[in-house]
Amino acid sequence: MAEDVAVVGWAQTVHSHEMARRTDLGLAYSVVNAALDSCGLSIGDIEVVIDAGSDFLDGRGISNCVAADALGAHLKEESKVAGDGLLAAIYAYMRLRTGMFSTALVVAYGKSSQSGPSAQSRSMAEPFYTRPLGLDALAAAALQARSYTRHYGVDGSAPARVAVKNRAAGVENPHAQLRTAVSLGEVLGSREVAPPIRELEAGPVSDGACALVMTEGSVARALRARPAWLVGVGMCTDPYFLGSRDLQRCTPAAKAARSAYRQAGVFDPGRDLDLVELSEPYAYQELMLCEALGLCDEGEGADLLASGTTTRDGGLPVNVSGGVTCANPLVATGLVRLAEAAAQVTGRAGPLQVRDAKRALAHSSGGLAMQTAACAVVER
Amino acid sequence: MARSVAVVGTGQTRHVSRRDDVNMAEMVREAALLALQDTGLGPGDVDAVVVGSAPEIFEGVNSPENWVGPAVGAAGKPMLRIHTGGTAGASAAIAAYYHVASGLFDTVLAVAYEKLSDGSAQYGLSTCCDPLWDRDFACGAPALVALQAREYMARYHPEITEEHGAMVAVKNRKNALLNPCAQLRMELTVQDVMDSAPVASPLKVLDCCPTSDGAAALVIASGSRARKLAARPAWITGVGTCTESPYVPDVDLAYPESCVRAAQHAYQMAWVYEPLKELDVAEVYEAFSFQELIWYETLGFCKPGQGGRLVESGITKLDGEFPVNPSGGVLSSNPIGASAMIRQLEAARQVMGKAGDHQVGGVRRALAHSWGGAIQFSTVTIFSNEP
Repeated sequence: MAEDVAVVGWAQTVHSHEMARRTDLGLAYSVVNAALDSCGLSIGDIEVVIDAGSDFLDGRGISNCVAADALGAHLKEESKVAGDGLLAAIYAYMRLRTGMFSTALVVAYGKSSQSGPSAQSRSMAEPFYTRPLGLDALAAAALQARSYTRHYGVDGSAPARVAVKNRAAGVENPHAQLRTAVSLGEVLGSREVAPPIRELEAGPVSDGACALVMTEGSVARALRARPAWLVGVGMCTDPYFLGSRDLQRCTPAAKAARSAYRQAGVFDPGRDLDLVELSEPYAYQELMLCEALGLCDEGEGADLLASGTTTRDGGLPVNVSGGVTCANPLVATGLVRLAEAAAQVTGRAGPLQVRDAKRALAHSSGGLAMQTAACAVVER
Repeated sequence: MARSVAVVGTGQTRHVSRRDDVNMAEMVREAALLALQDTGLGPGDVDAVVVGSAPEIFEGVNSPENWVGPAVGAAGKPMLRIHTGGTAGASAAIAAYYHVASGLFDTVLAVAYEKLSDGSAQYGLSTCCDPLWDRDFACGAPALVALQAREYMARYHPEITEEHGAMVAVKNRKNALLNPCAQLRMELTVQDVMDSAPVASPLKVLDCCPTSDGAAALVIASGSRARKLAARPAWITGVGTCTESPYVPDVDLAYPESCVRAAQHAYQMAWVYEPLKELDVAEVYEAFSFQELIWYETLGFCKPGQGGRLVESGITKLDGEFPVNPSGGVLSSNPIGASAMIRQLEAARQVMGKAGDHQVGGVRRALAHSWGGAIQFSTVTIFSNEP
């Protein structure tokens, strides 16, 4: 029988564009300390450290090499996931489930301002066929947005409405980078950066970090009256080449969610979840992801949005934190979603708190046009 | 409670200095298909894929798992990439171990690779150093390991000599003659090594590993699946992954504590008290000859300072009582991200009785070790013939 695992502590930086006065490792170090403080543990109590990092983003080979000290990894059972921090949390979850360890620290950090997201994502294309085309995250997303909106006849203003909803939500989030509301007219009037994607439909370039403390059940109960139990996880990848994929659907998110739901006993996500934190670097992705995560039927993401269900006061709030529309600290993005979800189900989300939130889903994506997905369900 | 977990299938490419006939993803696919064939499984029978590789800058592809993973059948499945420098391959297999031990998955494919001919290995390794702090002084791996070897020799002077390092190089390259996948297969003398050109004193060319293109794959399964899939699974009975500070003044290069602790963790799990007596064979990550002597000590095969005597005694030769690196080790092939998994693969094959011409007789327990980063990451894996 596997051990129960809970998230007991978390911290994130205030995400911001170009933190010129702080190093990436300084950001990581600050959240490690703050996450430990948040649950009353010290680094000596931690057995396992799983960190997430990106060599390309850091501009260093083996990103956890010089980062090891800042990550709290010195003389720990440490390993590094190259990818989003939510994947690192899932790996830590696996280790704790075995019962071999009782405490784990999960850390993710990134300073995108130093390289720019295009250079970062262009290098994800293999060098023979796709890189010479200049395919980057924005171009791939634009192809997907076009494919999705055409296939389902989605109104061209729907992604803009996602941005309006999330920017309004972000006003309340003390960690968000963009904390001003925007009107539909402003989004629709913003420059098309890669048609059909408009400037205000894309998440910002953010520097930031996030850390989580996870423990097995008995430690969690001793530390917290109400821990956030991690009850389901899922991961999935699509094929690599865009031409081999069904770009109108986010199949990996659907599969990752199905796995997490099965483990968590979620049968009807629209009813059984109280909120969702998903990763939408581009606004149209929230529409696709609502469908993939089973919050509505295929092609009905825009209808769900129009119904008001996914607003903060709706039946199933999506991205009450403002989501990635308001802050996109690459590598940490997905772990931030889990931290927000954990804060919500434990009633510690402050100004963002959704009333009576008991169960929440956190999602992350990776690769070009959401090639990969990870999901985790936390509950009170 | 952790479930019992075993290696049921293994596959590796031939390791050579340059593969022009395949790209990175195709090369990894070769190893993955061999491992799957070894178990009689197809890519569809795998529940999840773990990818291991070292700095992306070696091949110049960011998030390479997104390309490599689907090439080995990961599309539609959970996929994770582990990157811990030189230990990446072993860390990936250990992550696969936890996938299964956690009860979440039954059959997991772990792959690891490096295609070093796509870039410059030493340039890539120098980028590990912080750009503001110490990259100006970086000169690849040999410089750091030369410091390690010097510190080791100085501490135990005159017990450890350059000839002891040469003995390791001679032993392992000779073993490689029996390994069809090895890149450097050479009959050498101690004098040949001593006379070879200096790289970073005391390291000479023949004390150093080559750079290789190559890949490895392991199929890792839960106990009940393992018994169906393999006649003699290699049970993973101990794992340890430990990390320490990258900065030389903070650590003891001649006796890295990360290695001692990773071994302690694995030995405790596997109930190993006297490694030299209770283990039958070891595959250690000796990218440079002197390191094998240091790992003898940190892994508890002998006391600190006795590494030279151990290699002199012949015990660690292929026909000795406790062969170390019967495959020829990293000195004979080094596709960096794969090398740590190759150690596991060779150790697992020894337990499974599938090591071919370099099979050691009567192996019941085998150890695989690796190091990475600034000699700061260590992994130890113990394989046994019973769970």
